[in-house]
Amino acid sequence: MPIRLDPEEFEIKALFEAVGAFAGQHVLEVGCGDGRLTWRYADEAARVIAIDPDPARLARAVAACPPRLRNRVEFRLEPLQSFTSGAGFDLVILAWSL
Amino acid sequence: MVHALEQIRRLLKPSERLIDIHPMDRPPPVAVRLGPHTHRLGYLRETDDSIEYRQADAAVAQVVREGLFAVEHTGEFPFRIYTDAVAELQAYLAEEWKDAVLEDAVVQRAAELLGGPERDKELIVQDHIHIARLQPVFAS
Repeated sequence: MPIRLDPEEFEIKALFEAVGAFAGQHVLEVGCGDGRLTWRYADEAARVIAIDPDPARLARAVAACPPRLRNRVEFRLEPLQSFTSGAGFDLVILAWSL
Repeated sequence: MVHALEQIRRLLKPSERLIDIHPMDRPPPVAVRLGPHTHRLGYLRETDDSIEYRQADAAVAQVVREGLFAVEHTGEFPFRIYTDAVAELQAYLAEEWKDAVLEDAVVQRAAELLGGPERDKELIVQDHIHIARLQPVFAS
């Protein structure tokens, strides 16, 4: 059996409870890692920028990005400290990265 | 950590929100389930004694105390890792949770239990996670 992470989906349930709805939201996810959490909400969001400073993890996220999300999710290899964007965000998610 | 929160605040407007998800300062229990029976083996330790989680809590408390953010919602949830082989868990920890330590006694007992004849079995690590929704506060 491979490693299974949170098969009960407690994390995404807690995230939706905290956020309410992602519909129409422009989201910045800080510390997206391999995209494990990103895939679970990005379907509903209008736009997601997902950043992570770890190249190996980000490469896995890019490779695993479902085709339906490729126009909606943008991955960037950078830490929060150097992140700049002219775009406003409705929501910032610090995903296990504080 | 406080600096990161201050930087995020600069990205947000008053109507926008920050979600913070981070592990709690509680050692995750390690257990083996054999059929209907769960055997608690001990805890997963961290080499830095989980100091970063206490620092994360302190950073959030500080920005709230300083009036930069207001807490709108808090919650917690379990986050479980399942496998059926100690080596799988060790490989995962080495890759993704580098400061985690499985003590020898836990590894040995888990291997004993998982090596038995029971077919319905799994090794479980349960982390405890905190989630909060924060609203940036700006002087009017």
